[in-house]
Amino acid sequence: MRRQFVYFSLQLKRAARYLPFIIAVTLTLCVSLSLALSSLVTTDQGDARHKKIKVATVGEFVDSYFDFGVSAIQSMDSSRFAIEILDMTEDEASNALKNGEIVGYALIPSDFIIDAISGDVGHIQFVTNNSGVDMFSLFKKEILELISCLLVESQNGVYAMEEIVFDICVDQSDVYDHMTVLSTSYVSLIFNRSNTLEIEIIGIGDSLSFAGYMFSGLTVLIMLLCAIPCCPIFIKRDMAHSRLMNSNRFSPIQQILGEYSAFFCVMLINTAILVISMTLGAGKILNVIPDLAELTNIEILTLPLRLLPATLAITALQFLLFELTDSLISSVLLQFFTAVALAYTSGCFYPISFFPKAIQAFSKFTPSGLSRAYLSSILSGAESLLYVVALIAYTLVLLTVTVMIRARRIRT
Amino acid sequence: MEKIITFFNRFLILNKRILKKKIFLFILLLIPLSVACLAIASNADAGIITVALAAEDISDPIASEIIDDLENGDSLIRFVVADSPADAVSLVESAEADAAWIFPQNMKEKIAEFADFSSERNRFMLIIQREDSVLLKLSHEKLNSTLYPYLSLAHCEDYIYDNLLTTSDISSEAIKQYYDSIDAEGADLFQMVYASGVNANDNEQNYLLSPARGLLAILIMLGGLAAAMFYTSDESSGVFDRMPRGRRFAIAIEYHAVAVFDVAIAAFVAILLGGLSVSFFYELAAMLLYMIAVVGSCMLLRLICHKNRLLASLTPALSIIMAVLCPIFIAPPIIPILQYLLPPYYYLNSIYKPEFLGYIAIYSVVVSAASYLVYRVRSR
Repeated sequence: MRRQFVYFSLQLKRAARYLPFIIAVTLTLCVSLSLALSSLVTTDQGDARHKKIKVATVGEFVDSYFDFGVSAIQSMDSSRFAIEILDMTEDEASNALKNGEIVGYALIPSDFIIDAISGDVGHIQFVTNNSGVDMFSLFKKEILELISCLLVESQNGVYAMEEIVFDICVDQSDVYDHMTVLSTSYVSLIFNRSNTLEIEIIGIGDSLSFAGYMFSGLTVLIMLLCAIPCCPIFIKRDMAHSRLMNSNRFSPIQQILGEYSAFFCVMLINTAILVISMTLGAGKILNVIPDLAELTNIEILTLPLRLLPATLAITALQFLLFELTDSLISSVLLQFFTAVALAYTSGCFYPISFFPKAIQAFSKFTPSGLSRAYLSSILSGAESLLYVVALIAYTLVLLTVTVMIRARRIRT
Repeated sequence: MEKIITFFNRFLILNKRILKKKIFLFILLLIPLSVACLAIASNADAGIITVALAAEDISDPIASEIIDDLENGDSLIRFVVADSPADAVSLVESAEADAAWIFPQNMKEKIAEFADFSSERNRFMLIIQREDSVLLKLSHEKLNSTLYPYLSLAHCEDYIYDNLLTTSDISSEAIKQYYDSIDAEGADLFQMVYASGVNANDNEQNYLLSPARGLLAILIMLGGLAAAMFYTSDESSGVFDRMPRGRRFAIAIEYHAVAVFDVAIAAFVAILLGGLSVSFFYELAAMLLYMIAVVGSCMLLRLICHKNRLLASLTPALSIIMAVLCPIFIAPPIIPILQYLLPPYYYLNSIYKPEFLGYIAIYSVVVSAASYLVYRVRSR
């Protein structure tokens, strides 16, 4: 027992040399992420999902139909709550696109409207960029398809009426008057299209807000990445020392327990600082996460302890990855690759509901997925013992595998 | 010439040293495999919003047709068909769906009533949603574009019967035949292009796959940082003590280049397998320039930090800063003073903005020159 404690203290002393750097970086990261999170979740309406998509139109028009049309859309159409249309020159639009102020701009030829009225509908180039990979700009394809649909179907109606008149009606003299009247009534139909919908909002209830969800995802992501600074300490380039200890009856289990406990202590301190500072920063000071703002000070201080099962599971996984590698480059790459791959498929970057069912199911069985779900359940007040049991079971399995690998490396 | 041959020989020997590690080879193989798996998974049924569909009368032909079209169509919205309106509502209440769209009975009559301007327009589609957000508002436009063809046909029919003909002159089915026979222009009204003039690649727009390139760029950067730690570790163990100081800069370049080169090859293969490539040679050029930029910036960082503890501690912070400030997950906030320091910023922008190839070349020269300068200062 004494030897175990001595070994643990030695490992802790080694790891503690890195702790001030890790904590400093974690605190800086917490401040930056709190600010980043607040910029994602701002506006008077309170949520990033209430921001409008901004698009620009570029073109010089001989007549004012287009300007009239855009004004009408912006004042009467239901899309005005979601989309803002700005009029710009091509240079202005190009710069705005580069700066991320708009998601794209439409280059409209000067005679487009006149040609369209006479039935010759040309093409409009919609210039966008791929750096806009946020959720809003992904809808641009759906919106452009809607515009095409409205245009095509309305024309179908008007031209079908024209053909029917020419084929069946005796009096064809005022067919073009009828086309004008019908076209105008189609404009009214387009503007009223959303009046088919009766919308009822039932609220999000007890589930987590979007910001609360992203907080739990980011926390797990940082926990996964924080093992990288410990790579130089915990990877074993050669097993001479371990073999020597083993020959002195200090078994692989004892070695792993001593090293893992030291690593866990460092990570626990780091996680506590991370969670408390993020909760205070984003929840209380910036007030961008309503789920955190509701927590009392005692609840905030005890949050790292409630997260213990998640910290155990994640650190056990990270320690297993240390044991698998014997070179610094491999260790850093493996830690990062595993962290990102697990975080991505566990819903730490995008909400898990964005993914196919197969990945959602996979995430329920990963330590990162379980940890994220567990933290979300704590924040939403729906904490479950099942998560605790699953995370502790994961910890035991991962540590067992680590011991087996250490034993094998000592023997070979 | 002899120096160049020696340089390459040392490069190969160092590469052998790293490639001997099976786990490193395993990671290199795992990179393209993971991206390929993600590319396959991204084609599966997924969506930014989940909408539950239900009809009050499942035998209603229009409701069934619309539900089938939505369920089998290609959209950012994931549609799930509920057995009944009550089931659809409970899916929303339990947060398994973001909204429920409930189609009423007698859809044809309801649509005709709405399309008839002379009668009162009643809202007939019931939407139940958890919150009122822009994403859900945009999803309504999807529903509108699905309903609109039926509304348009009904409106045309209504106008003809009100103003021109009677049901004995032309039947409803005949009007539909005329309507369907019109091939009006405008179906491909919009052509999406990137700012550089390149046509938008459908695969690149996939939101599940779109961060892959950015994450691979960060991984290459991590390879460079790991190599920096590796070099520092060897330096403090005295591996280079017998070498003249003047030759250590070249050796440091080789250390960084080896790791970056290997990871970059794996990343390049991953980009090709994932269908993210815009053009083979353009990607190759961008990747080569990016590798040089990464080697230069990691060398500079190593010389500035000088200790493994600091380098290692900075690694996760740098990863997250790159993920936030580079165009990977979100349209990044504009903070030029930080963004211009990050190699992935130039690389990711260079894919659709060719002028960034020039910027990355300039960046590479600047950081390489800066690292040489710091090296000379420290060597004194």
